Amino acid sequence: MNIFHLNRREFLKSSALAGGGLILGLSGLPKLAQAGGELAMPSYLRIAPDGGIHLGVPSAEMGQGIHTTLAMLLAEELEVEMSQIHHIETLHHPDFKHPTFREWTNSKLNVQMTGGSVSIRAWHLTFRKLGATARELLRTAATRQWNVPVAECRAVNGRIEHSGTGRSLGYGELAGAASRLTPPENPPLKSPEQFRLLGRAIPRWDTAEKVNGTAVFGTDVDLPGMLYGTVKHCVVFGEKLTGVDDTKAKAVPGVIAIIPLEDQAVVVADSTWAAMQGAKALTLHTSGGHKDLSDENIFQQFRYDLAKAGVPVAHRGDPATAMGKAIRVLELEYEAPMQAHAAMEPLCATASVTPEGCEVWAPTQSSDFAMMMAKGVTELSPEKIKVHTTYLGGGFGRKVEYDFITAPLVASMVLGKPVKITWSREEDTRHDFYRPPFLIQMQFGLDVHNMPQGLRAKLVGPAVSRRWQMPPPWLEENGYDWVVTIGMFDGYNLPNHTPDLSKAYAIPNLQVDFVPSDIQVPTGAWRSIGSSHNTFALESGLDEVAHAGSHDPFELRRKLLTHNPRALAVLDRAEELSGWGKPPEGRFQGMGYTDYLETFQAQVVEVSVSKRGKIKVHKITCVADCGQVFNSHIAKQQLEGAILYGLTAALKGEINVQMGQIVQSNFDDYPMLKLKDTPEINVHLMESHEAPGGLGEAGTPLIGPAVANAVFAATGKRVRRLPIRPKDLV
Amino acid sequence: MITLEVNRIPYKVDVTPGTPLLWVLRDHLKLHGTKYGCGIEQCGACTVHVNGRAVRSCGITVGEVAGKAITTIEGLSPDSTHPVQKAWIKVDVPQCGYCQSGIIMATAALLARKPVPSDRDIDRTISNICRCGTYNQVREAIHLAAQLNK
Repeated sequence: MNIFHLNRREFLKSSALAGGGLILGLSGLPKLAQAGGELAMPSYLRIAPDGGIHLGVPSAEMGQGIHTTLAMLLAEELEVEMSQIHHIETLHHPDFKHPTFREWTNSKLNVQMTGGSVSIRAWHLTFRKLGATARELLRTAATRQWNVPVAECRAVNGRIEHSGTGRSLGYGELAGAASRLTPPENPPLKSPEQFRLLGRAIPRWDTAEKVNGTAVFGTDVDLPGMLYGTVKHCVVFGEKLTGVDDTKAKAVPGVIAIIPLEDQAVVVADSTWAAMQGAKALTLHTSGGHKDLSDENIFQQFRYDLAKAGVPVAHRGDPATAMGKAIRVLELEYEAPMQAHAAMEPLCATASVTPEGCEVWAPTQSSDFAMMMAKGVTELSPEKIKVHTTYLGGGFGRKVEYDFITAPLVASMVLGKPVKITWSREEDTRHDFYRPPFLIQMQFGLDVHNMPQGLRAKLVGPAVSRRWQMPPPWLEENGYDWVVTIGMFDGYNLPNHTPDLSKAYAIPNLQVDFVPSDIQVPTGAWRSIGSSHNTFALESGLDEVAHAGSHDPFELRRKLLTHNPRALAVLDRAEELSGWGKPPEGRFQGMGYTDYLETFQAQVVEVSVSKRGKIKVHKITCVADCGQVFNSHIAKQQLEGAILYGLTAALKGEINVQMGQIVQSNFDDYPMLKLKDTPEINVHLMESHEAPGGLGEAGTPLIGPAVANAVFAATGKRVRRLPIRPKDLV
Repeated sequence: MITLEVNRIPYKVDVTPGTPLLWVLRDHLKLHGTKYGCGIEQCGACTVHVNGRAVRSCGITVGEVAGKAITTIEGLSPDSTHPVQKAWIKVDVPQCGYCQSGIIMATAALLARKPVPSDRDIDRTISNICRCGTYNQVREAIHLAAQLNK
């Protein structure tokens, strides 16, 4: 990856990055066909004449602290304090196509996107190198001004200092001269021992604006002359709109227009409240729809499909012989229901479309998908479209979709004014792309020592990647879909590659297959994707193996991971820190282990269960080796937050479908974990200089099985379906 | 026309008295710090103070609050120096931040009533929903705010 210069007239003019000073961009990543030559690209690092640093980053900020961490990576090498970072924005930029998604999808997906716990993994070196390049340019500029050797000049706290004379110049003073120099090819990077910032608990850059109400989320976009709207979807999946009765809706004061689309109507008014009242009063006439669809027949279909051969996910050794030789076979079935994302910020987006151009403001995880949607709706050429990514009030995989971009675009085109569309919580809950339901069958073949010598697993559920139309589906032709198979000996499998099982449990004979079983409910990426159901099945299943064979659950996993020293260290530390085996009176422990995206992690949970089956989670210990940590505060918050996201799904509600529609609608019938339910959580990060592992999702899939295993310890009742319902425990 | 006093500033707004305070704050007065999360008083993202008490603004109409003193996150302090905000910054609580205005407002009202709340008080009072899972940092920051308040 090379760093090259841009001179300042080549800026995207309306970008907050526009202005004078030293400006750097990166090249070397594939570019959008329509982007033209390198010089046409906007840049994303600017050091202004006042020394302030203005930074454009590829990743959307949705709570994972990515703005802060990317700025820290830059600031570390550039030798500035975080207070010198004056501006950070998620910038739509051709350099920012995500390399990891390209790799994972055999180049089918080449877009700017935030998700999959791969922002730091993909960009950490890029932003360090960007900082180092700017630092070297500034040093060179100073040495030329003073006519002294480069070795005598060093960068300290936003200035270049000359050791001989004690002279110094601020970055702002040098920025102009530095911008006329040729960037070095390989600027030296610091070694971890030299880090000032990286690894420390540096406060988030955006906290100040998030405690005084000034942070701009998608829902806060405000344009002159803007109209407000909402959407009302056909309630049954697959239904199409044939017409509307809008007499009552139009009678609502403030309602301006009703715009019917294929499966929804857009209601536009002079305020969001008026639009929502209008939507309530609106009657949709529909046809078609999968009115027979229900949880029961979805799982009936899965059970039927269980007999099908499926697509190979991971194969090793000779599972047939191993099963034949087994002294004992544990045959287990696990189920995971649907879940909604329920981000605190309901879906929303704002668009302003004129014949000359189109601007979109959205809390999107993929500015490219928003761009594609705008292109499709407006038929404008891409250079006339601008996408602004706001802060996201939570994303969790929902806002990687682009369905919520349509309504404001259409409404703005029809009405000739900017339009902000805000979904009601009910629409958000009932028209999600849900965590797919899954049925997982496993057979563990145990030897005379009760150790698993073979595992056959079959995963039955929808291939969620099949649905994607606008971005190319990355589903393989045979139906293999890593989005749902990840977590079952498919941890960092790449399509068409042999799965890397070198760090996985040493069960010598393996056969994991996936049976695609598509359903008429839209499903998508939900924090931790396939691991969400697969880790539940695998870690609960191993707990069953441990109990069947009188193994300690830690000891069983250690025996299966002797080849993985990082995993062993994590297990040892978790056992020690959690007080494993010595819970307080009346409490019971359960544990689990996972290696989601090269973050090796163990969790131990302490629960008590009342006679009525009410579960109280008292304490969670989480030990993770996620490689090099760049911000320990944010890393811990990510694990803790992901754990609570998973705990909600393990203990609270679920999403059900009956008569073709979603049963739940808001937080009254789809309850969320609250402060009073939140246990003590101790997150411990192992010290490591290994490559960073994924962190944003890693905590989510493991907490369900760890709790279920603790519940088994408490009650002797094995939970094979989440969420855990009190009635199943009495 | 309805007269509202928000953050000590009087406003006249041309809405029907049945309009929820939330939407008047957001769409008419452009005070966007108060958030919409559920519309049914479940999540608390829209929490403001009415005569010093924490109120979920999605569930109260402008007609009901006309003439009363309304405070939003923007009016909690002029410079983010309210003890609750200071504690929030010190603990670095927010993740995505969307629910935080509401939790901060609920906390400020709790501390005004009960300067040193117990964990049980916090559990009972702070029933806001945060999907990022900042709850333990929220609890820590509430205790710190109580200390700063002394």
